[in-house]
Amino acid sequence: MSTDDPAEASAAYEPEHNAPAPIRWLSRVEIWTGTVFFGLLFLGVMYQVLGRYVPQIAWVGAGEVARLSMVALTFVMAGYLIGKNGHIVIEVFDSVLQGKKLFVALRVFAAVVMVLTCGALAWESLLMIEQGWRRVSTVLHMPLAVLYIFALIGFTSGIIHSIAKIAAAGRPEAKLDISEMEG
Amino acid sequence: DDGGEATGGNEDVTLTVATSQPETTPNYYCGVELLKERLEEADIGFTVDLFPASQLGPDTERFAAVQAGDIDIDLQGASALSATYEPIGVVDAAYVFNDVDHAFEWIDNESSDLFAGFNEETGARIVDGWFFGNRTFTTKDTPIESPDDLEGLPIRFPDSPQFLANAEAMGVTPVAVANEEIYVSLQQGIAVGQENPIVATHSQSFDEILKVASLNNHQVGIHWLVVSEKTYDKMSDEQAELLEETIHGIRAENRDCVDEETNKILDEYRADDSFTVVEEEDVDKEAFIEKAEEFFNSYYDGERLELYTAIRGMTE
Amino acid sequence: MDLTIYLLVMTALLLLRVPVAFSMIAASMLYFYTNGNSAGLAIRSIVDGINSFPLLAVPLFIFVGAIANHLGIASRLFDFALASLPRVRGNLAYVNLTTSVGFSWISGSALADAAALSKVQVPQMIRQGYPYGFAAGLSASGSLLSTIMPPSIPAVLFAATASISTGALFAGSILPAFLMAGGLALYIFIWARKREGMEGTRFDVARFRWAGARVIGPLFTPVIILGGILGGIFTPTEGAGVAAAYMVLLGAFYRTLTLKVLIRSARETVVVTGGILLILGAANLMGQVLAREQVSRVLGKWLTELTDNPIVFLLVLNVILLLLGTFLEAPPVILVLVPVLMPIAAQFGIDPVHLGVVMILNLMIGSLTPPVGAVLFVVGSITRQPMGVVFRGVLPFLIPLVAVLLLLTVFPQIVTIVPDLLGL
Ligand code: NA
Ligand code: NA
Repeated sequence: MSTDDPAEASAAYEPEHNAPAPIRWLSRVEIWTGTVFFGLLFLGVMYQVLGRYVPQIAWVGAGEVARLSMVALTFVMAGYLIGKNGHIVIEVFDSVLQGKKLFVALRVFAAVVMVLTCGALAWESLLMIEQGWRRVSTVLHMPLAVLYIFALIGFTSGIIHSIAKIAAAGRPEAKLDISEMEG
Repeated sequence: DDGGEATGGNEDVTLTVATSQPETTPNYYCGVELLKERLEEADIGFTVDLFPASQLGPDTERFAAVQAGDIDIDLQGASALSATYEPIGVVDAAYVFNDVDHAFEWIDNESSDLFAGFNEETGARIVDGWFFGNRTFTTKDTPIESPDDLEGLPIRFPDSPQFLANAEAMGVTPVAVANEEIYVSLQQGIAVGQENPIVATHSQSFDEILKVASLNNHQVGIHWLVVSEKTYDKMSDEQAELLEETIHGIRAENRDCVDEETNKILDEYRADDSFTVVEEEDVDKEAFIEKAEEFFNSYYDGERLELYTAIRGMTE
Repeated sequence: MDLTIYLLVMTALLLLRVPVAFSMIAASMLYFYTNGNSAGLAIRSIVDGINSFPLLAVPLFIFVGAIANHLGIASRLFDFALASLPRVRGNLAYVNLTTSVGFSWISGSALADAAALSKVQVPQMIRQGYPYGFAAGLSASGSLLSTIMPPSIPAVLFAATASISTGALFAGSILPAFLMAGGLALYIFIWARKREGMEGTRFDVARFRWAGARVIGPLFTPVIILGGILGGIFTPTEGAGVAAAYMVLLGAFYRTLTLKVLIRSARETVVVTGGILLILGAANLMGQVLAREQVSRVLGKWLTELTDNPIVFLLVLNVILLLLGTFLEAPPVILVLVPVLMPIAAQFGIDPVHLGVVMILNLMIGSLTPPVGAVLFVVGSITRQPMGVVFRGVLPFLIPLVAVLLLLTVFPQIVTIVPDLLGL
């Protein structure tokens, strides 16, 4: 893979250049937050292994840090991936409809469904933030509401990206290159 | 059923009943299944759908669903409930109850304040508690007769604050292993033992690896029958009364069933040369209780300490 | 909303280009709202689907694959296979297959394998006169080995959902993976028999040594993962973390892993993981709908009335899964169907490890078929060919793969013998 060339590799996840500046900044913040959560996840798992052999530093919360980081990572990346067309889509009719008006209509329809679904998810996240300060995680005693803040961010970002997609439905869709991403 | 027709002044009510227990355990076949049979036979509008084996999610999520009214009745351990209402964790403390009779006596005579506080805080009622077995140590090859035997043994405990406090109270250094990885970690020696009721140890096949069962009985395993306040809203008084009566009525039968199943498994161990059973009378229970009391009297404070001392006080 | 309408709505959304995760979420939320359930049930179920310790292996194994790729491990394995295989007809095809086997011990995802290997090998094979279809088809089918041979992300998912030992499922998959490699090798043998001038170069000791030294490090990864799990040093999930740490150390040792590359690998991991994990959360939500509709009980009753023979049951299941696999990827199918299938399989007395291996191979074959075939898509986009052309190349390789699937279905011993021997 041509990942020795930084320009080519990073083109896949740098925000599109035609996107408005606030959306580009949002994407940048999202992927960096996600990367930090991945770091926490990795450290949490490694700390659990370490703690087993160095009992002095053993801490039962390590596994929970890893798990909760994974949940936060997923949510914080949800909107980013919508913007980058990074969620898996079944493209059965794409080749037949490419270039036709019906295809534009189809993309508008999908984007509207996304706005509604992300809206419902953001609303549920908000409800959980309101109710979630009493429910705490088992070891860290962290209010679960904190987790739903990341869900609210991710799905609100999903709404914004989906609205941007309705506006851009007439233009060709940029593809997130799985081969570059998957490594 | 009469399909929407009211039966003698009662609306049709469908109850969603969930538990973490699989269908092979006494709390299913001598518990929720009896509840279903009896409520439906009464013919006052009940339909009961059973969802065993955590089909509707893990414990804490199911309890959140009870609070929201998405599940009507659930069987919950106090440790899981303490994530929402902290004081109730005390009833899962090691040796807080001397035995099942002590626990039932507390439920029947002394629990109302705690349960009222729980109801106010969570929007769910605790109707009763069903026994599901005494939690007890099972190890690869170490008999546990007194707290000294636990020293330095890597034993798996569930990672909730109350269970971890129990480990500390008995002098165990707990091993953190996710529920899904207990079997493999026992097999590979990451942990050399775990604690569970015998019925659960058997149903999860841990006894394929762990060959010493020590009946130290450090915790009376109780599943609390938690009913959503929203469920009471949809039931008539007659229905609510029958529901509670049926739940109370099953408690004794369920306990016999658990005891019978536990003894059946223990007899198989006793007859098997590869197993060792450390009998209850060979365990220095006094030493365990003393150690645990000393720990919890300084570990708890405020409301929890009050509850703890009240329950312990019943034994004097 | 009843089950039929629910499934229809979801299928419609899938076909109308709503992303897989959001089709599942939208239909399930509609189901809950119309059935009078509370708002919040959906988002909490999604959280629960993701908040699971064994699932941590998914991002960690993806990270291992990303670093392995940046370290150029695919070309190291390729060089070694080329240097060690003697002059036989179809030499480069066997080299391709051997590289897949080597890579499968490190990677747990077919996409990582397909991407890394088709980039290195397809052009090389074409240069030596192999037709594109054969080269691409072989690389695509060989990449399935990564998901069968441990470590395997689908196996991690299956074990977590079925609550069985990941170690046992890993062990049970080793023999089937070699059987697949054998089946593909047999097809290469038959294909190359009639063809002239496809021999490789003469064996050269110096070259063999040079290439061998370069793969010792990477090939130590499976030793660490399996040795650590079986030796009681860490659990399978922790093994994924240790493997990732080892890869980072290896990269530092080779001096190819700069901080920049490390961060890039982490970012790639986050992008890929985010999509997969959201699908897993959505699958848990969908599982809640199927549980409330008692699908397992109904389906189980229907199947037990149909037959009481476990092999017939598994054959029926294979047909259903092959159909589902043509347009759905393995992870959501595993997460949604395993809770439904486990109790039924238990009624038929089927070993869960056996069910796991059969189900994973079956669904992975689906990633080689249109309309939705992730492996086809990756190989096509890397070699700059349409998916249809890649699929025509894949077609003949489906014969050995389906043959192995049938063998595994009918002879559970192929799966259970290794875990039994290891006492797992
Ligand atoms: Na693999
Ligand atoms: Na497919």
